[in-house]
Amino acid sequence: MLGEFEYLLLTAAVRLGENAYGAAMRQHIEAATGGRCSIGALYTTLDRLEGKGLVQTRMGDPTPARGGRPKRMVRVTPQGIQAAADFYKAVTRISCGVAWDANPAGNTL
Amino acid sequence: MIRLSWWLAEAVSQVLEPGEREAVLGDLAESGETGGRALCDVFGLVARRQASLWIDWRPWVALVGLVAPLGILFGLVSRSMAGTSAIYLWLYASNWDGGIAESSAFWRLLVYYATAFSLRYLTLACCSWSTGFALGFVSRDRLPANALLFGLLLFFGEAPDAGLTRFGVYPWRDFAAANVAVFSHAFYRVVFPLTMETVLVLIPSLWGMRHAMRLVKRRQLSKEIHT
Repeated sequence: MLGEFEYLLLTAAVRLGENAYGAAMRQHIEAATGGRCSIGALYTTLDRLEGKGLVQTRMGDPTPARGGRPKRMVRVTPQGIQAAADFYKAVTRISCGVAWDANPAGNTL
Repeated sequence: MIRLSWWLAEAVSQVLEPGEREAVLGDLAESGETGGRALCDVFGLVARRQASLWIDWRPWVALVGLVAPLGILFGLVSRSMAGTSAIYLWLYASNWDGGIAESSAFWRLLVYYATAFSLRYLTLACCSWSTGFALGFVSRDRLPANALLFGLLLFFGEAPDAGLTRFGVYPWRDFAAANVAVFSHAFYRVVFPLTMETVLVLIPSLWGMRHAMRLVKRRQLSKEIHT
């Protein structure tokens, strides 16, 4: 089972497709969550996902906007897509019938 | 200030693997982060990377069996050597007058002690370099943390009375208690031993660690090229 941050990373990478790399994924996650995403969390989680075979990374070409430094490009593997889908289904199933907005105290049942 | 923060961020990032370093610094440049934020981000990543290396039991064995004893031992030896040197330095500095310089016996003794102490200093510096090299070779990725611990133990580690007096290595407090006239001066008590520890142990050992890291990286590179 994925962790929530792992799921966020996989989703951002799938959304960005061919343009998935550190800075873009970070921007995407920050826009979605409204919180700050640290480089440390991003890169250590990417390594963990790569270790599990859920993503593959490679070094891209250097660009002038990055001071001539290369990007670490990310591609989600079929196993990664499966794991993210399983996580999403589990969250959807467990959330079924729970209305968080209606009762912020949490006593919804 | 911003330039200094960026410079610090780049300096701290040297601990990372070259590929990761380039990608991280590129991401930070592209995101337009301020120097302070960039420094925090790089420092956070380095801290996570270093922490992850300590999950295994082997670095703890190396720390307890190698880094800690060597740090304490070198601290003890350098302070002991600084104590003996400080006494001779105080003797010459406090009893100096023009008449002494005319005595040939004075010069003979001065040359004798200067040679003897220089040889000891050289031996300690060489041992420190070798130890630093060995630690660098063994520690590899864990070197920043091990070097920091070695340095802390060198300056602040107190060794128990482990029978080292048999080998002419005396605890600092014994020197201080037996030679109050010398060690009542802050220079001989604090500045001189700290200088000795820095010049004869810390700098040579860091130099040795740097050499070991270069050798390890060169080997890794040649391995990657051959495969």
